Amino acid sequence: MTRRGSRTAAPIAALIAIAGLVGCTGEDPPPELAKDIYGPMGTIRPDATDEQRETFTRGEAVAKHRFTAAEGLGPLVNVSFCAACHEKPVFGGSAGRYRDFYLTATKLEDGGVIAGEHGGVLTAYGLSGAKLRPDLQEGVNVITHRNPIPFFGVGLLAELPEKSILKYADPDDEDGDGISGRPNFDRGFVGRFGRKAQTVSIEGFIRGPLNNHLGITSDPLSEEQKAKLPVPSDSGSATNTRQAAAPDEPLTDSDDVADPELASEDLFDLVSWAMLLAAPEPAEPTPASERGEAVFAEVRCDACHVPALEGPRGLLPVYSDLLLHNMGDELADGLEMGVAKGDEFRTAPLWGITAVGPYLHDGRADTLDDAIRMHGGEAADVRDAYVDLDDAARADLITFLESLGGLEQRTSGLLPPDAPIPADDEPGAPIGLTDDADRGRWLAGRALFDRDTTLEHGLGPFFNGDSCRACHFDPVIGGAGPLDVNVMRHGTRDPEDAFVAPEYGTIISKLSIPGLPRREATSAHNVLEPRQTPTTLGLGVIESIADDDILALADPDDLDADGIRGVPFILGDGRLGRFGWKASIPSVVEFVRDALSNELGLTVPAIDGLTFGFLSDDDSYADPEVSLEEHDALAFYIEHLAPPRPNAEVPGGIEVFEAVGCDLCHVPELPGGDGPVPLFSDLLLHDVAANGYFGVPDGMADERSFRTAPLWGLSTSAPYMHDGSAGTIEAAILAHDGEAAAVRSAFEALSSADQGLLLEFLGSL
Amino acid sequence: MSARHALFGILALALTACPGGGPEWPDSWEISHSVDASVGAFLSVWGPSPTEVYAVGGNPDAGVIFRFDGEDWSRDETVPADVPLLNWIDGTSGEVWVVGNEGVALHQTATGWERVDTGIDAPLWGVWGAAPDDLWAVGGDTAMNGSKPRLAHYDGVAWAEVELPAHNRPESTRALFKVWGTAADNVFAVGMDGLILHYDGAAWAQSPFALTNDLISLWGSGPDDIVAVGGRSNGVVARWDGASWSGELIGESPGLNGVWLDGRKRAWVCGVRGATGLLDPSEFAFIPEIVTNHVLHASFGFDDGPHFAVGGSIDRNPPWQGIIMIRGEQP
Repeated sequence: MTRRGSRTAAPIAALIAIAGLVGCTGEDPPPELAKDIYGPMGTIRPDATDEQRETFTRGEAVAKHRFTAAEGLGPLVNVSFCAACHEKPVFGGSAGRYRDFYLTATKLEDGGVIAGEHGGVLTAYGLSGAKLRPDLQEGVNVITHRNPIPFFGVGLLAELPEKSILKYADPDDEDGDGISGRPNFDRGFVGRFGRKAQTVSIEGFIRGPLNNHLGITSDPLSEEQKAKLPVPSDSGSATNTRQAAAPDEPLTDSDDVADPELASEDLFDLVSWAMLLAAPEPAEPTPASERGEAVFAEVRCDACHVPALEGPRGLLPVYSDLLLHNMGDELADGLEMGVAKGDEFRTAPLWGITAVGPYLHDGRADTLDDAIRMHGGEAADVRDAYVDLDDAARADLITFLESLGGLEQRTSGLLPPDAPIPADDEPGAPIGLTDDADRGRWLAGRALFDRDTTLEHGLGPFFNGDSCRACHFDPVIGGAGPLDVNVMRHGTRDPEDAFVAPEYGTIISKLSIPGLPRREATSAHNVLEPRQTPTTLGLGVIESIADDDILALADPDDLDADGIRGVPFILGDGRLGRFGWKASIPSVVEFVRDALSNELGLTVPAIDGLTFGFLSDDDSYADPEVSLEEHDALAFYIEHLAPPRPNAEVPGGIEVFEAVGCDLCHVPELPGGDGPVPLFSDLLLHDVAANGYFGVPDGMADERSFRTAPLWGLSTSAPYMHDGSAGTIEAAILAHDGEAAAVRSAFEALSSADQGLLLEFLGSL
Repeated sequence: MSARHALFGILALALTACPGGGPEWPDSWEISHSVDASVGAFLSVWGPSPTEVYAVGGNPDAGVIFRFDGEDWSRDETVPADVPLLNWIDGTSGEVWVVGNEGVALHQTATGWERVDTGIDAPLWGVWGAAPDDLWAVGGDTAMNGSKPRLAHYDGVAWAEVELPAHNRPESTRALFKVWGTAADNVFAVGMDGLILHYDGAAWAQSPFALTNDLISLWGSGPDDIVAVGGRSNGVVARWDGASWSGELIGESPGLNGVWLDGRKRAWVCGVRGATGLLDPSEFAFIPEIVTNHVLHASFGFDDGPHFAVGGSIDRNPPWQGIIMIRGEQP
């Protein structure tokens, strides 16, 4: 191992000169800052060839592709697409806490640590016969959080020669500065990717999560493909394997889809896309950032966050040594990966750091200031030096960190800064705004809808999403959600077929705040039922439908003997429910309150006449955690979201729709406050479940009853049915049973042409 | 027709035809034999003499055995036709046994290989015996939920499964990979998650080992000098000194699969990425030498040479290519 290299305390502008002093032999020219590597986050490196640009476009499409079970998704799943976890502030980045996940292990009495199965990844969903909410593996006693890691510039890190990393290693702290730093290894190569630098190749860093989080299996790329990657990764020769070509094995899983489930050309494009992502572009220095840069060196942040590593293109301002450091007991996660111990983590690169929070391996830090203050172990002295700075110096240091790229793209959620109000013909557009004050309220509500709720806001302790947008983003903010944001409900079906809800409610949250294990179902919870996220587009219009117009459609005793009932959900206080899969929520504002409390773990203000939401919880944040102003703004935003707009009319479609009998429940339109509302629903409860089905009841909606789902926007709100079990519209039709069995049979009896016409019609809504 | 590398074939012939008398072997790792995907990979190598060495392996659906006569490798055609992949060979008991997938066990007879029922349907990964009527086989299905490590004993008449002793590894520890001993009352088995078991002639019991990486194989020079190797991404070397196991994770080394100890108590190891290494007695660290881009799975040799390392493209989907590396003594 080489002795720890000299660590520069110089501003980037001076790196060239400093590096020259370090590396000058009298013959070699001093290294310069790498050129043509920067760009806005999510864009391709400027030096990419035309062919690479085509590959980049295809690879991004693979990253965004929503896999279905028919394509191999599962059986164990956290997300259905790569970009789900790499979206902040744009695709390729990190994600808010709603994409956190858990890693598990078993720590033995003698101290040995064994990673849990499935790469140690505890998944939220089971498909293809797996338990709908996979259990914690027996014997697991280490459960730790992870927040997704950004990919910007990773291709440049893959190019780094090992000596550029090893140069800073000092495992025994021979220089006595209190900072060690040792490499991790993967198949004998110096690791560089992952929170513990446990992976050496980008291909490996993609194939592993694809399998562990999506259940998508893949084979390693061929030698020919590896040679064509933007970072050439072929073996080179029999005995001189490139580090980027660390061999990996084919992956398999237990679903019925043949392995590999990802085509090798798609994997090639995906790996290429990651390799080609531009490095975050540093901002022009300002007096404050230059002062902060000096403070950064003064307090010795640069002891680990080495300003630049030398690659084949020159110096990369990555602000990391990519080495492992002991970060102390408070940050320790107890996991061992490669040579990394439970308290060791890779120095996080700081380029673009301001735009990819939350921070630290488990996302426990809301802000950069929090993150610095949470450093421990080898960094304790540096942390203390930071804490001892005056406010101005600390602010300058933060300003410097914010200058390392991404500041202009930073957002409190996912909407770009200053995102405009969509035009009337665009999805997600407003409706019914009369003046600038309304538009201001709507924008404020949208910003809240999109905003990642921080720990300081009172998120959790158990939650499904950290924002409203976290679940409602298909095809735009306010829309529906894919199956990887399904809400899981559960409970116990007792021997008398009565449903018994857990004391904390029927929702078993997907997540918990960092440091707290998620809530686990017990063996007594023998009923699990996912609930797909429906769109909020048009809820205000639905609210304008008079109760009487809904009640007029009800036929709870099937008095007309058409086999279709239609039961209104009447709340205990007499209000008519109309929102949610069980029609149990009477109004938009109650929908907002319910979601804020049950999905985000936030308490809401007490308001006369409103009964949904929690007014208090047992966390340390003052209640209500949502102010009245925020509460009202959110409700206003949703109340004024325009319904999905229909596509071009499909001639003859409505006739087939009605001939089959779909319109018996999916009533094409109801009268609304401003005219007909073409929602294709009667907003009543029906039993459309298969024989023997037993789900989670809600009030007067029994375990088999669900509200007729509105069909507007159907083509952009997959998956379908209450549990998201239908990947296509046709599959959804075929999943209808009970009261709808005759209608399904009528559909099955249609000619292929008429079936196609009906599906086209439904897709046009 | 052997698929021996043409250029090396010339070299090997020149080296083995040394006018000084006995055969000489290359002074660095060379390809002794390679086979295409129609044959498969080689997972184990063993022999009683430099002119009688066996390499076993194949593809998941078809096991193969090749024999080395001191010059050439040839396929043994007496292997039963329906035999799946063969994982290990051992003849230290005085009789030669091979085990493989689906619990298969082959016993070498005067007329060839004879299949013997083990009563086990899981893969058997290792076999070793102290005597013809005292053999042990180990295995387990690494991919099947609920599968347990398997132990089986052969008493000269039949194989019988032996109950696994209590151990502290989790339910996901599903296999033992190799078994080796110095006597009937001193046998070790190693497997997933660093599980090590010891048999004292009366019962199996867990032998404490602090590391939790998979241990793939083991060999020794005596009751107080046994080496086990493993790891998947990073190499692991474990040593038994007669009283306890100690081990180290060797980051600079890819995962190790094979180990054999020579008369100087040096451990010849091999593993992932075609890594080979030679560990001095009592040493853990070594500098890996990459000699092929195939995975090497097993080591074996003779004090005066040759030494073998065998493997193949087993880091890929089958069908696999196979390779047998050879070299002479290393100073």
